[in-house]
Amino acid sequence: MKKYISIQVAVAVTLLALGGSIAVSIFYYYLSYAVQVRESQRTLLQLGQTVQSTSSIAAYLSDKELAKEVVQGLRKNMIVASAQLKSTSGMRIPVDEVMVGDARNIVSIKLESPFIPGELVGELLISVNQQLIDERARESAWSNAAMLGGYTLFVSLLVFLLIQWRFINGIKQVASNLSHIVPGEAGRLACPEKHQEDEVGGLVGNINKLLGMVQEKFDNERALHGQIISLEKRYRMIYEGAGVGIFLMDHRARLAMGNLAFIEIVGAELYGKVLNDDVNCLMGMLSETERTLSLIEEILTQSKLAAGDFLLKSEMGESRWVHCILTQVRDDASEGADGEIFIQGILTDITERKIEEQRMRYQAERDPLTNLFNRRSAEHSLKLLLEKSAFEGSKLAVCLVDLDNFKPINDTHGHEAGDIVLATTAKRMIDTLRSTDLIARLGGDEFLLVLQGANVLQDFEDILDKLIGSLTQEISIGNDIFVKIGVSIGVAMSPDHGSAYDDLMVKADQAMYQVKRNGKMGYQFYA
Amino acid sequence: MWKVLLSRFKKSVFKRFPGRHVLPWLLLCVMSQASMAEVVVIVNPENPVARLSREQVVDIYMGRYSHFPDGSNAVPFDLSAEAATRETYYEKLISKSVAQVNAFWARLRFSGRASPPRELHDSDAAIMQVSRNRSAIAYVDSEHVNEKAKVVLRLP
Repeated sequence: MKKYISIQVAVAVTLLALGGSIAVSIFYYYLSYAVQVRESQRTLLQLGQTVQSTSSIAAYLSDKELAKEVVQGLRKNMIVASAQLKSTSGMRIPVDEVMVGDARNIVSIKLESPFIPGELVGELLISVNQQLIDERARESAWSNAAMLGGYTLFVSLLVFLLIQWRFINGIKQVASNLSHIVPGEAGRLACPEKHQEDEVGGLVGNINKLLGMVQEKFDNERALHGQIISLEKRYRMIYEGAGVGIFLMDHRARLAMGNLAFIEIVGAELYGKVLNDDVNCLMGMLSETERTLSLIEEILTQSKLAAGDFLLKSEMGESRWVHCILTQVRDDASEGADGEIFIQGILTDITERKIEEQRMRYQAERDPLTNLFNRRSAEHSLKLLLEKSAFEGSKLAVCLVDLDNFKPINDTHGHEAGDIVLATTAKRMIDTLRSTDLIARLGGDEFLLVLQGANVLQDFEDILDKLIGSLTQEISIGNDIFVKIGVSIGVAMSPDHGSAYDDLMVKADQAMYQVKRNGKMGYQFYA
Repeated sequence: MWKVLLSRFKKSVFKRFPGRHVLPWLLLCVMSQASMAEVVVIVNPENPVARLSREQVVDIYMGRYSHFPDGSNAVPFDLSAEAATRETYYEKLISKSVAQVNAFWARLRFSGRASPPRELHDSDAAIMQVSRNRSAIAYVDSEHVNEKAKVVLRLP
């Protein structure tokens, strides 16, 4: 139930005033009782004085009739309970009645002789009607209480109406106005006309002040919100529209989010797999485990920035290369002593470039006719092999191979036939030798072979015998024409004949010329 | 306004209580006292009572007792209403006027306990009554008293 201030105040006023009225009434009862007693005593005294002379005569003469008349006359008064007239001669009227009540309630009037002043002739006793006094005191108190009660109710009603009129109506009006006001807008409370100067007016003023502050705050928030939205839009444009894949990982390399380009590069399937899994997303995406792990370790422990090219794990069978740049970022806004660590990544698809690069390198290293290493890359490779064998303490056989009778075939059957011979020879070398052996065409009909993996001379000799057997087989150059070539191989052993490239090459060359001088077709170790 | 009311009030007060008339009244009283000789209460010469006090005379005259102090009957006699001595007598005896005494008796008219004394025409009648009636008691101006009556109280 709603509680009305006006009713509460009115009830409180009523209760307090009624309490006060009751107290006052009780007090008034005792007061009026005392007044009544005093009043009645005075009345009795007056009554007595009225009949004093007659009483005196009756007592003086001991006149019973007159005395009776006096007593009866007195007793007709309501306030008189009983009366008695006594004379000094012994007359007592009424005869058998004894005066009751305490001394306070009895008025005694001494009767003097009507003729001789000072001579006592009798006594007139009158007692008060106690019941009447009580009644009158009570009546007086009740009427007083009723009057106070009525007055109290009247005042309470007045208070109620005044509060209602002066205060509640104003408050109600203000409250009703307030309910139509939207915070943050320009609307303000109107103060009721008659409350301009009082507390209601003050309240309205304060509310308006508050509304003003709220509006100001709202406006600021709105402006700020607009700024944030436009800023976010720009960030989103940067992020979403970027041609490179941008992604974010937590400190355990779990993927938090990635942009459209990222998804496109990685592929929706792989993206879905690493996004919702509690896994290291880099490990899930990149194929080289060791390098990936070291990349993550680097970014987390050493540097703010780490990068590398990686082959993407692809389930489509098509291998794609990506360039991955990782940046360590700290989210200072989040909880924690140092802020949460995130890893931001940028992924660029470099497959095209990689392929082009490989192609270029291949072209640079290979002889286009035979697909064998060319002189420059052979030199580079041999130097690497020499370093490696020196480190391992293993043997290398550096063999220079020159084809015998190649020039006549070229002259007789043409360049195309020569090319076929060279290609066939190269293929036979590849087929005969092991994959670990280096095979290169140094130019013309000259080849370089580097054999490794054998420590006994015999093993190398076996390989060379087998090679010569293979290379000297007939070669078809088309149109059912077959040619045969011979080979001269000079061999220099590392570390037996030296460990420097130039030295070994010169010694192998000398050994090969030794074969040529000895009538071609065969191999010769440097001696 | 107030002054008008006050003056009216004063006028009305002076009309009702004319102070300037008090002096002649007082003079009259003094002169009458002087012209009166004393009043004496008399009884039959054979009455054994030699003297009566004022109170005893009052009690007999006002109806309280109907006996002399020795127990014999006492019958009081009054003078007629016209006699000046009657006024003097009651004035001297109980300090009351005849009218007041009449009022006293009028009050007792119906109770029957007491009745007023019988009236005699003049002092001579009073002396005659006393001389004849052994129970009688009366009063006369001291100028009129003779050997036929015995004075028991003098009221100067």
